[in-house]
Amino acid sequence: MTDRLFGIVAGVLSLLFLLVAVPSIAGDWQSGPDARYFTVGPRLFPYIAGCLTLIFSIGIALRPAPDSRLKLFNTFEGRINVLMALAIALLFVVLLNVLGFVVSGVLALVAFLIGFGERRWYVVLPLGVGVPVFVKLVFTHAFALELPSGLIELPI
Amino acid sequence: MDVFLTALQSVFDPLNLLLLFVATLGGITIGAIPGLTVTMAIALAVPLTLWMDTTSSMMLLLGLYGSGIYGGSVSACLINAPGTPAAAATGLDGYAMAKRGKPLKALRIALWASVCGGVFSIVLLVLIAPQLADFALRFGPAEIAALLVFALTLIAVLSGGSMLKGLFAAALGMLLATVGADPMLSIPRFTFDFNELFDGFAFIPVLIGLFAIAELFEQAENRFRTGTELIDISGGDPKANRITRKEVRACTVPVLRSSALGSFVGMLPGLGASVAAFLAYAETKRTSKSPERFGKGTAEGVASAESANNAVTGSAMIPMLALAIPGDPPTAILLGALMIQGVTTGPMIFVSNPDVVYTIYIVLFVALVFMTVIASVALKPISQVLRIPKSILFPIVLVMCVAGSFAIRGNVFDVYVMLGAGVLGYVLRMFGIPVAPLLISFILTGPFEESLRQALIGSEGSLLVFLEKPIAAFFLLLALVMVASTIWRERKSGALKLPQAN
Amino acid sequence: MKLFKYMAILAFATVALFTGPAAAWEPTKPIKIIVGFSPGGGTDIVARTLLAASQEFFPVPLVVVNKPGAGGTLAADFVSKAKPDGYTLLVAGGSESTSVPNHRKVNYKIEEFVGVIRLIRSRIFIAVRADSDIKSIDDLKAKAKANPGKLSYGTSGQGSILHSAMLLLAKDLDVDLRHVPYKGGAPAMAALLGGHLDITMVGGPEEAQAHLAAGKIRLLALTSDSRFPGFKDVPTLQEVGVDVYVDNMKGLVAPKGTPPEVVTYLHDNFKKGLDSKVWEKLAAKLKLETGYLSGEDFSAAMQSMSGSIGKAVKGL
Repeated sequence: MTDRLFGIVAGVLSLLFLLVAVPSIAGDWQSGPDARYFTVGPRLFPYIAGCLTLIFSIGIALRPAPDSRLKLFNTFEGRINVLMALAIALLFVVLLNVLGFVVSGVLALVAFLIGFGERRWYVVLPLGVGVPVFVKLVFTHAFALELPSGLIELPI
Repeated sequence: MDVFLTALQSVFDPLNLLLLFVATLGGITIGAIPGLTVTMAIALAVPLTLWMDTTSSMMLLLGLYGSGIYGGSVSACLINAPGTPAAAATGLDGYAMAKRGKPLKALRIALWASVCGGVFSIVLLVLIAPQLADFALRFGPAEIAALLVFALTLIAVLSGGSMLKGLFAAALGMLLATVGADPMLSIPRFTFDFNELFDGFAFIPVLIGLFAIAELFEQAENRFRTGTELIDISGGDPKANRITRKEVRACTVPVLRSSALGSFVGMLPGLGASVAAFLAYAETKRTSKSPERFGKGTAEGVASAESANNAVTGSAMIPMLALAIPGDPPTAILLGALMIQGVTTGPMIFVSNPDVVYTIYIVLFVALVFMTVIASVALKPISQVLRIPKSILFPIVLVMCVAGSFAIRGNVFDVYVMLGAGVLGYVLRMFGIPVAPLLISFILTGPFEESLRQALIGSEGSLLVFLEKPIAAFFLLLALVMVASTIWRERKSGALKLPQAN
Repeated sequence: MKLFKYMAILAFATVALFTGPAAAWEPTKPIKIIVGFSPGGGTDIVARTLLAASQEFFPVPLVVVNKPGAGGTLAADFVSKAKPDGYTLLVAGGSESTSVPNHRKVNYKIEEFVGVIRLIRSRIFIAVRADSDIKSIDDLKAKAKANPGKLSYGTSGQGSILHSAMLLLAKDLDVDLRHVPYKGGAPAMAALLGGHLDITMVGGPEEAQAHLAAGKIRLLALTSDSRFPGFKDVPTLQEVGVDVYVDNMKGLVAPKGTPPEVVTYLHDNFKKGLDSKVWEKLAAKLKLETGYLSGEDFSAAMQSMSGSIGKAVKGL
């Protein structure tokens, strides 16, 4: 049953892709005097890919595998847990440019640890603060790679 | 020869050796942690190679690669949670052996089988890969396009599991690969005016998302509680944990055959170490005089699965080096890492960068030696990593993934791509869609479109060019045979299977 | 003794106070040099070489930051919108400055940058296979005229400066050629050697060196305004009667609006780096051709090159 649902949703999305997204690719993009193509243009591959996903999602909908089922996500608790993980991760990324890697990393890590049942402060605090700071130090100093510093600039 | 000596010299630089040592140690550790795959370890290490020279970066990545696949067997044998998908077959008999009180024996058999498989495939790589260099210059756009058609059909027909879902995944990977500027005219496709999407989705954030972040979401479902039970690996009778001479004799033929099989599978794109391991395991069981012992802790079972999946490490490098076709996801990342170093693989590499080729050969060998030394000394301490609860491990992994995805291009956009890929990967897993075909067609589609269109510019749009050139025609024929034989086999097995299902 | 110390300090302070306004600007935090290409690439190497040579002349750390993507335009876009305070500089002067904005829409203009200093220039060569019957630019013109739209040339990408250089040449010769873009210079060279292309544009002498030595390719001309010392027998296009001048330059630019005294300070200190022994040694090792120009001259050179490329692209 879930396969059928998946096939239908994926099929509709493929159709939307083929009918709306692909035709919107500019055909007359400004690209100089010798810009030309033979047989295969910029739209052909998207069309092929879209058709293939459409065909195979119809296939999945028509011939669903008997053993396919949603796992724990079916339970209320499972759903809450996944959404919580997603929300924390998303917040982490959104805050990157505002608070910088270290601060948003500390917030996300602490939220993650507490949210998933870690209550011991002597675990949460050292890990929550230590890991982002350690990663930042390793990236910037050992590998000379910049991580977002945010609007407030920290000394590390 | 000069090139070889220079390569040897740069590999045996003390700092480089230290790096390889650390990488091998890290590879075994990461491989042993369930959920942290070799693929992910390499992907995470790629940003670190940005500042390194080619030799150092190869040492880091290849050190992680070989030892990571072996490391997967540690957790597979000890807690029946394969650290890497490739180690799943190893766990069938390895865990049974551990339960019977011989955990270290299982680990030792796995180690020596890994070394045999690794050596076998590296010898093959050294012997065969240069022969392909003669073809070097004959591979123009038409030949490359035809070759990629062949590679794409292999992925489609050999992905395993539900064929329809594998094909759907491959189609989706192709669709995702069309995002970004078109390869000939630089016309933006589906970029929604985000200049960050001009080059398409950045590969490493997509990869980290599909594997690590999707795994994080899946593990979050039950609050990271699965597979936390532990076995005391220091226990057991030391004598019972030694490998007997009888077992060595029993394993010799299966190990050789599995190494050969693993090397063959590794050379073909789209299959990878887990397919090799299961094939070899099945083959050893099929030809065994006492197949009933399998699954109950036989040495041959552990040895064949583990030698096959490590044989993949060397042989997967053959198409990557000689044809620029990655044999499995880890080599796909290695390919990218070489590109970062400004090294273009493909038939030309033996002409243009023999130093890199020699470096890779040498590093693969030295990495095997290091792996053996480290594993035999440190099996017990390494296994302590397994004691870190996943509820602590995974959040830490998230922090590292965000840092890695950002640093690859210095762009927050790519971190969103990583998160999006994570959600996609999770949803696909939920519906049993395999991620591997998606990833491999995502990688192959770009070059395929590029070379196809380059070839068509040359022929002024005539598709006959693919039949006129012998190499191109050969690969197209091969692709046709592959598809036809699969359809035939599917029909046959389908006809046999359907009545059984009812 | 103590009194003497205080007096000395006082004296220094006084001198500093009076010379202060003239000495003008001094950086107080790290200066970021943004590179629009991956680490290890040509532009990145220039930036890191400059950093190694100039660091001793700056009181603050110089940092190279790679922001690769979209042919260097992501980084240019980033710097054009950065605060014009002299702490964010871009390595510019190549495709992303003079060529790409003429081919497609980007979120910045070349006028949005002020030149700080030009560091190097890299010559562009027109190459054919050694066994090709095209032996000179005249042969090329004759053959292209006889086979309009048939001769193919490879470049490192659509909209790249190599592509633009050939567009300028084709416009001047009034011939129709077929462009085949590759992902980088190496595959384009491989395609030339394998006989899958007639002509390939080569983005620097180091890319041609090995194949030239092996007798596999022939260089018809270079698009620069003077001959390259390494290949003295290769003529410039101007010598063979083609009015085309394109160089792939690398220099530093700052966002428009950066105060002149800041630009002067940066120019003077990077110039010291460019004149240093370290630069000389590294540039020789990396085969970089030093091509100093002042900030104003660099800006002017970029704008005139961009202007002529723009005309060729738009078919004027």
